[in-house]
Amino acid sequence: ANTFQNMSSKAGAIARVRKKEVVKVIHSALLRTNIKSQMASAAPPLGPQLGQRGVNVANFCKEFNKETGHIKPGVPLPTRIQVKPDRSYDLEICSPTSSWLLKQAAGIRRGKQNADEIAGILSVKHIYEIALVKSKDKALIGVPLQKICRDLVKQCFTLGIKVQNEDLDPEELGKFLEERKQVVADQLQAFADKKAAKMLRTV
Amino acid sequence: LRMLSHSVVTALSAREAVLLSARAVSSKYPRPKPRHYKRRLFEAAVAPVMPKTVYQCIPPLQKYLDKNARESEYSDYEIALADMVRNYIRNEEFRVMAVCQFTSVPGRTLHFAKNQLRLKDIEFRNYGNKIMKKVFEDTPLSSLSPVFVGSNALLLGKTPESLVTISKECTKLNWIVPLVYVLDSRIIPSSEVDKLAALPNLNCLYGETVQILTQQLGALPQSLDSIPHSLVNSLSHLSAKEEKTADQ
Repeated sequence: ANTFQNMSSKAGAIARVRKKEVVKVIHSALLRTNIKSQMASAAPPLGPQLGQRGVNVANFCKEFNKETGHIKPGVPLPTRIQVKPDRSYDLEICSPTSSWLLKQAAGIRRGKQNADEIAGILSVKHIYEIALVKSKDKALIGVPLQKICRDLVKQCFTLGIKVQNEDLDPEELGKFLEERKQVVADQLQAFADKKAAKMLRTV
Repeated sequence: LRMLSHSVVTALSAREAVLLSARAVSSKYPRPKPRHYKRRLFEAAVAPVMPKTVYQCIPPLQKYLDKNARESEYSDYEIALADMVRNYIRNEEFRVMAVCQFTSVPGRTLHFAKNQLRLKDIEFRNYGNKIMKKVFEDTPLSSLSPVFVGSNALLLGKTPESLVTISKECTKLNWIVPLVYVLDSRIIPSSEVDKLAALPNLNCLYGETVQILTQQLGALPQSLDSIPHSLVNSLSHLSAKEEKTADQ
């Protein structure tokens, strides 16, 4: 009986969850994130990120949405928030993300899914104009325009956008975009089917 | 199997037999868990016959010399990078170079500082000391090799005014200290450049040079004229003396 009691007490001790020691995480003063214009809210992930640094989330969202009032809603904007010890902050809103600008210029919404896929076509003139927009960012002041253009071309490679020296032919581009629409629709359908099959398997 | 295993075990040492038969179970177990001895005997029996590893006793001095030799060797990539750096300095026509002591700073700070220096026509480059020694090998700047020790970086400029600009900008940054400057393959110590930086304008140096030259040019006819003048004076003094003695 004694051994049984000892075993049961040990089992109870093992079954009891040991209380974890709570370690306070000190977050960095600089918060780098992308926030959609006029759509800042206290919802995750932005709300917890700001709250952990002691920033008044409601005030921040109001200020951000006011500052981006002149920009089309939903444009992803890289934002740098420097939080000071007295919980005030410096807000720096940069120009829209390169990937968004490139997709807008190419007239597409999704990048490539496979290695050899071409998701869109742009000319070097588009790259130059986008580079002029990006060169006004604080982080790119002093960076040669050539380097910004090279970085944009690398981004195009990642997205699957082909960059050509000649100007775009409207007819060919229209034909390509029509074909691309079908390809994207097929890909999305394949994703939806896969998801549905997974749901059925789990059920 | 027993006779076979016995003969195999005597061929291999006990340590080798255990190592051949032991296995790492998973990453959660840091030490390999030995299997049942029968399993270990079987694995030792069917283990492949490997050539015996020869352990060579290398003296410490030889190890040190081999390590130095390996560090002084350059791979094809390093040689190509050295050539690329040399061509970059030549093609961009940089006239001023400052070899600086560089303390590592966060990437964001370095990125912004590089951009600010670029606005003042100064390029920041950090290729590593091994590459820089190779770049300046067999050139007049090969005497800079003792400077490329520790953590260094290069600041490059295209005009002689960049000397002063580099000196002034580095005083604002506490993580970079210029050690030696180079202007058109002429090595200038940092103390001299600090004196230049104290001047209001580099044109003062041109004026000073012109002043020194004109002084020298002005002094030359004076020194040439002094001999006939002194001759005339001495002759007039002699004639005056003779007249005086004649009167007496």
